[in-house]
Amino acid sequence: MKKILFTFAMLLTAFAITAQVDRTHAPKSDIPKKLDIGVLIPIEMKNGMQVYLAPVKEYPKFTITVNIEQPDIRKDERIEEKSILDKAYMEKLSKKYANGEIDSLTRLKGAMLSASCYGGTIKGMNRDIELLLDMYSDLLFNPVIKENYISEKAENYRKSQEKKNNSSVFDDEKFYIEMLTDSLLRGTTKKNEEKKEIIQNFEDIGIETVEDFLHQRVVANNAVIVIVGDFSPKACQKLMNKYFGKWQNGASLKREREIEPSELVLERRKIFVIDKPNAVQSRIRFNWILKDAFAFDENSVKIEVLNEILGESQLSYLYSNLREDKGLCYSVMSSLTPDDNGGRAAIWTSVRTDQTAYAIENIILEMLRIRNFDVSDYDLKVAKNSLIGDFTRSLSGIAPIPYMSFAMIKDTYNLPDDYLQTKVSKYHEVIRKDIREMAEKYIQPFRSIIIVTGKADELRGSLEQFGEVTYIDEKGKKLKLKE
Amino acid sequence: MKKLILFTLLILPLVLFAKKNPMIEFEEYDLDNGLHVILYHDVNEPNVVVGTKYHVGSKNEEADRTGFAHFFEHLLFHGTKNIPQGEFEKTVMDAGGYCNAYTSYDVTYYYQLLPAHEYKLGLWVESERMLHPIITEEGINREREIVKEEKRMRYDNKPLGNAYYDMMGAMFAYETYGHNMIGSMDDLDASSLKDFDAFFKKFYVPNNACLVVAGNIDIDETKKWIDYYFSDIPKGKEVTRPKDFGAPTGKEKIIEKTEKGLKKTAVSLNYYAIPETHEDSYVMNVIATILSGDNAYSYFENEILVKEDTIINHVSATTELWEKVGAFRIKGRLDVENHEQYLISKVEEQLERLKNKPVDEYILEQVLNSYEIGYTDYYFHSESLADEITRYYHFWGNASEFNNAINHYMSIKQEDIQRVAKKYFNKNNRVTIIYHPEK
Repeated sequence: MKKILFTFAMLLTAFAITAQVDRTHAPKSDIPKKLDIGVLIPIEMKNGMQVYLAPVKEYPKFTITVNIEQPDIRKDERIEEKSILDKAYMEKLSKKYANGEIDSLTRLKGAMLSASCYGGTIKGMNRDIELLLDMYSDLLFNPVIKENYISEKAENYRKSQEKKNNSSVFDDEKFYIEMLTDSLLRGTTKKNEEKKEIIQNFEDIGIETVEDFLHQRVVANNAVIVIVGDFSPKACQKLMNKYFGKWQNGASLKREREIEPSELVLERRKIFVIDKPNAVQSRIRFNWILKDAFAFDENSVKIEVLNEILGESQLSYLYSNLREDKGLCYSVMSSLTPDDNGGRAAIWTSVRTDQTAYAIENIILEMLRIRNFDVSDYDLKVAKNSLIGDFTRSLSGIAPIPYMSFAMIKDTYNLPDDYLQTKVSKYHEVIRKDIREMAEKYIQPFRSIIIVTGKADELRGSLEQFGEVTYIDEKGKKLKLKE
Repeated sequence: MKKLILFTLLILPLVLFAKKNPMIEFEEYDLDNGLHVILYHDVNEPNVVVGTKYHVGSKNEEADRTGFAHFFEHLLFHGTKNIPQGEFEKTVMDAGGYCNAYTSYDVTYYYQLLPAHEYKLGLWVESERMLHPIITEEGINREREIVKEEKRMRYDNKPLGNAYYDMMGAMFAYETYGHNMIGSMDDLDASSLKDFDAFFKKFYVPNNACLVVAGNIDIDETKKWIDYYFSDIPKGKEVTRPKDFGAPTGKEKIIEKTEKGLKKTAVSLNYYAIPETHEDSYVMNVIATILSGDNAYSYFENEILVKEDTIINHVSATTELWEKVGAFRIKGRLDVENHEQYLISKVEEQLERLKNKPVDEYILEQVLNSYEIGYTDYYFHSESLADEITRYYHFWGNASEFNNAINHYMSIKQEDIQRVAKKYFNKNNRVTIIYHPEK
């Protein structure tokens, strides 16, 4: 009897312990503490230089990025001097370190040090920070500019002009499918036109003019410095004062955004097949332009959520359809990227040759679905939560890239100081209607270019259902296909 | 005066910041079912990483079921008894997390990056995967096509896409390290639900796994939840591990191949080396950097890839060190056909130089410092750290060994370089593969 009771008691205990583990659903999360997205501490400097500190506790390394504003290259009247000064920075010879010490000591320390008219980057162990900053600042303010840099640059420019005159955009050596795509989508843009007009003249350039350029353009009040490492604001300020405190001001430059919406000149879908006779898969890429989607404008977060649902994540429409449901590909991705030219978009994947048309059909179907139907509340919620997670993770740790780039672009894009802190709430604000509106406006299944890189002979005839198809070789020449 | 300033700048920091290698203090223990647990609180990390590394990779596969470990990794995202099919990733992403996995010859690692307040979700998901994943015929059939596309995309769709596995196949036993991790199309086609059940029961057991939770965690609370979700997962049978990895024949092996789509003749010189856990492995890595690291000191860059030489297009060295085997791989490409022997002799000259002439102390110091700098980040990035310490646990049998990595590098001397070069860089310890473009 005792044995039975004991066995029963044991069974009951075992059952009780097992019953305590409720595996049937996800555990409740803890109450989130204040959203920790790191900090960016502004450090005040008397010479107008902007300095920000992103502290990382107990980290024995540091990263310093320096950004010096310069005019747009197409409008800069002193690009010759800039190119010569950049050459001097690249050579890494300075007044104090005139014998190659900067390069050799940087390598010896396993560190990194680069300088240009646009600033530079210094990375290394904390124990070497004084040496590295001393070398960097001496190089930045006192580079050795040699006469032969000027003649070399002039000669290189002359040669490049000669080469340019002897070649056209679509000759054998210069065929780039991206350029063809861009011109078909946008036509000739003002920016493309301007690009052709950058002419350099080295005739009146001497060491004095380059030095003058250095004093006029490499100036404190146009510089933003971001320091990542285990520093207190006080220690950071001390270092900055020591190495950059005497840096002189100059004419203030504020980068003006050149917003130029693009016209979508492509009337209907076009397909280019680039022949790759040995391919075992077709690489498919859809390209189109967004026309008027600008970085950091009121739609940019909505477009980000739209992209997450369409093709950016493991849960997207494209991924679920092409990979999870049909097993057509290993990966499929989309990107919708607002920029100052009105934004661009792409979808890309790789599938086996005999599934190329089917994959294209399904991509078009998903583009149409997101345009013509509302996304579900659940899909929207997951997409927003996932993006919030990605965003907050990107702000922490030893390489808080968004903080570094935010400090650099904040003024150009006129972003509020709390832009990063309030971005999470912007994700929360996106609703289903926004996604539909953005999709109707920015997803272009009919006015896109599709590039397929694969076996042209096997693809022939299967893609014509999607639009006009042009078969070319890797150098851009039209193909004569077997009958 | 200038010299004095320079001297002060160089010496003063050495006094102020005497070298102190980072040390990670983590907690580790075993549950009764054999699951090894590693917990690490990272003061800089607001999030958490929850990962499970199973000590199974493609070297554990049966010879007629290659690609299983990797295929299995895909299948274990399908769903579990309590996570419906297709909801696995959604569950994590809805919590603001991210999840992924990878498979190597030696391990399969699943990990989730989560906001700190969702660490319990990570533990639940990993315990679900360990206890009762749901694998169906339908899921296998669908996933098989995805894996085949992955194989085509990663390996088959480019010339030399399979070169790594040509090397491994020529050097090591097919059953262990000698086959492609992604498997063969035939083996993938032949796989059945029964095979997967057996694979799961054999390898996906707590006593073959290491669970890591790192980041912004409360150690005591985390322990309680680990106990809650993992302690009742039954212990599996002891895992038997392969022992035959193949060995050098003592004679040079030369293989010539013709590759479709290849534009330039390529050469791969592969020396048998040591597993990652061998004491010479740190020296091997340093040798690879001396040969083809920074252009300023790289032997290959300065002695072979010189402007005047219009025959050799490229040459580089890497170490390929695994748990039980290792190779030192030198890859080269020619601009001019039929000059393979020329390239090989140029490479051999540099290997002889390593053996016979001590590497410049200044170069060695640069290389070692670059290792120190590179390794330091592992200690301050929870995601990388979690991956590293679980690997150390499985390979070395001791996660703390990770803390010695920088010391191992910093103690390397000139004579170590010569000793290791002499020991391994012999023609008869090598497999040479030459790839010719198909005419």
